[in-house]
Amino acid sequence: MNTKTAAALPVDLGGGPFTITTRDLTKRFGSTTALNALDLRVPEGAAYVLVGPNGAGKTTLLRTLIGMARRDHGAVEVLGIDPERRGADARGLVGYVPEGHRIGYPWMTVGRLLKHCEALYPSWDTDYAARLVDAYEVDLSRKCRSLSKGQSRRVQMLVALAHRPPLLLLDEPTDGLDHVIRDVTLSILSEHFADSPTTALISTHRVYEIERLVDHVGVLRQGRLLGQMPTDELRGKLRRYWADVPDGFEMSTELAGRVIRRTEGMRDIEWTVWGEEKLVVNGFGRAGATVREVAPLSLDEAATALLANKETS
Amino acid sequence: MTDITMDRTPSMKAAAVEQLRVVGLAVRREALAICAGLALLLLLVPFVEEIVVEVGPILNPTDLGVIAAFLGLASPLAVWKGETLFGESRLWTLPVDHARHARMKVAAGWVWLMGVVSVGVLSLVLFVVLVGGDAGSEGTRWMVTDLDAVRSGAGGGVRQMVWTTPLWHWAHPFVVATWGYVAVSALLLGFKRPYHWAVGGWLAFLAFGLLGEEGNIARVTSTLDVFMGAIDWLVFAGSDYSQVTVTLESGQRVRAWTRIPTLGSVVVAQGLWMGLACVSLWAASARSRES
Amino acid sequence: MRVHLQTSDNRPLYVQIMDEVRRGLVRGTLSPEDALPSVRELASSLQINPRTVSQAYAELEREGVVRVRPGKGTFVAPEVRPEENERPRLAREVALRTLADVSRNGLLLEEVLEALHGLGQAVEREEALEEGIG
Repeated sequence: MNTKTAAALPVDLGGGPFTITTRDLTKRFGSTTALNALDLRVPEGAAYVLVGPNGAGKTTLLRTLIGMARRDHGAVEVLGIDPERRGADARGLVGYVPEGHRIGYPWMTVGRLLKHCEALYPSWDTDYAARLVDAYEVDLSRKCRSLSKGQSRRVQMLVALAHRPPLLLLDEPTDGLDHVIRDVTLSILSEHFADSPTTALISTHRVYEIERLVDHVGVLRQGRLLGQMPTDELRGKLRRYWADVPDGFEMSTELAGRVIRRTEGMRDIEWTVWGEEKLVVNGFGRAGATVREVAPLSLDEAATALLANKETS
Repeated sequence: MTDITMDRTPSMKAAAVEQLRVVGLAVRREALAICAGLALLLLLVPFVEEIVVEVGPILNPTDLGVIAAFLGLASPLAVWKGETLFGESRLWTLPVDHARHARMKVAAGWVWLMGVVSVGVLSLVLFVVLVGGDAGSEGTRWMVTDLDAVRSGAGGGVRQMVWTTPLWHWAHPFVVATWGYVAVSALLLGFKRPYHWAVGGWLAFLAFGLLGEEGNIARVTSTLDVFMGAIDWLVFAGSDYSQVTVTLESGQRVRAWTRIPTLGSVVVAQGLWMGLACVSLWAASARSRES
Repeated sequence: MRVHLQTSDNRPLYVQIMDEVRRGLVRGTLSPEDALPSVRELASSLQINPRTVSQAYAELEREGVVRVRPGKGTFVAPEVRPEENERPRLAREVALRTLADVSRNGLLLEEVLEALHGLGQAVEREEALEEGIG
């Protein structure tokens, strides 16, 4: 069965304005290509989730956006700045939570680390930092090296938010957090979005946790951006169809290229198809099948379906 | 929505002051340990005074070269402790230019190092003076006037001269500490595996001497000799390699100087070493340049 | 007012929030001129993007259900008539969902209506019985 869907998934997000723009961004490590001709667009004010399996290039992408990794090819603009030329300026405008859990200097206390950041971020909001310390129950007297994964993730979030940057780059922000603290984090992010005009690019492979917070999604696999779009568009156009099919049913060619996944039951088949619902249902009808039910997918299910489809490339 | 033309980087002054503070914190424990040791030494003064009966000890600034060199070589490890300079160091995520900030941090560490060396030199001078000795010697030195006569071993070829330690000698421990500090800082900033490079470099140096068929051992020792001579110039201001042991006519054996290092010769030698170290540091920190 | 979003609900979040406000009006937990939670509060408690809440409130305002008073917050419009407007609307929403369910199960609407009717009578009988015992 031919399931080429490359044409089906949109990458173009229109005219902007965009907070992050990459053109043909390529990064290689030796013979492996970590980022392959990436055209990422993060609209101003968007909460954009970057989904993809481990090793898809999410971390490398975020690092190139603040001048912590050099690109081999292509162009990058973050808030109008090329981070490779003006790294310090870019980092001043970005709240970054790195993938790893190392924070600051191992010998330093958390309290001193916050003072350090206060001294180096002119826009540091001391009151807000104090409120986050309370909300996250951060122990300021602890040494950085003695923090658990979850504790250092909280401090990293705090440092990223407290200078109220116009752009947040969060690499697995909920990694290492228990359920309660994860909930606290999501609430803090909701409030932060309400209080400060912020664009956010969040990388995660656990989409269900932040599904309700985001409004744009990009799917990254093996360094390629399979598609990026508003989550509403994904919800509207990627749907599951349950259809009764006659014996010897053949999918019409017009739909074949849009099928993301197909699960066969006894007599009915579940299809995950990309396209306008009406057109898809009509297409099924013309092929002799009766669509019994249509349902949208959660963002997590959609991401799983898109990433599992090996032909989507 | 957001004024992106707004500069959200700290001023040079703010960044420098903060680095001075943070590096001070980083080296605090080590610096305090050194100061505690010096304080202990001064507390010992009354007991030493009882032991030293006639002649007090003489402290020459060049005697401090080895300790100062060690301090300089070791202190970058304290300044950069716990930082993965080739990984996700906090420094690289901050809104500061990577290369410039790395240099700023090296400079901050140097300020503290000079502080510790000052305290060390002052304490030792104080100690020596308190126990009845002299800081900087006044007296006589043996000078070689005829090297051939000295080498023949028949005696003679030397004369005594009046010697006063010049004031500029007191710069020596500071210069040596600085050199070691800058060199090791460059090593840490420039190489992912600085220790491998340090050991590897030394072994390569020895191997260089072992090349060639004949007189391998002699070659190693002569190469080492050149190297040690160079180190001597740096650390001891040439005081060791400019001296020979002479047997006087009376049968007494003394160390005599073939030549006395002048301010000019020392400036040239140490300037060369310092220049080399500084260029290395600049190159090493440029590794993370951003524009 | 307590807003509760169900993870199993497939409709867009802002529609669910609008429905929760309507439900509050129909059940009487919300009355005309009552204040709705602020965008920030509701977004935080539901852990959703504040824009989604704003979108729901904007839609409700367009429909005349709420009114935004600048600097004060969002309030239920004084002229809201839950019995006349929101109640039939909510009934229609429930009916739509039921219809989808009917079709998904491959049933006919008549069969389900009949079953509903029967169930309704059974419930009434039980209530009557309980009252008799009480």
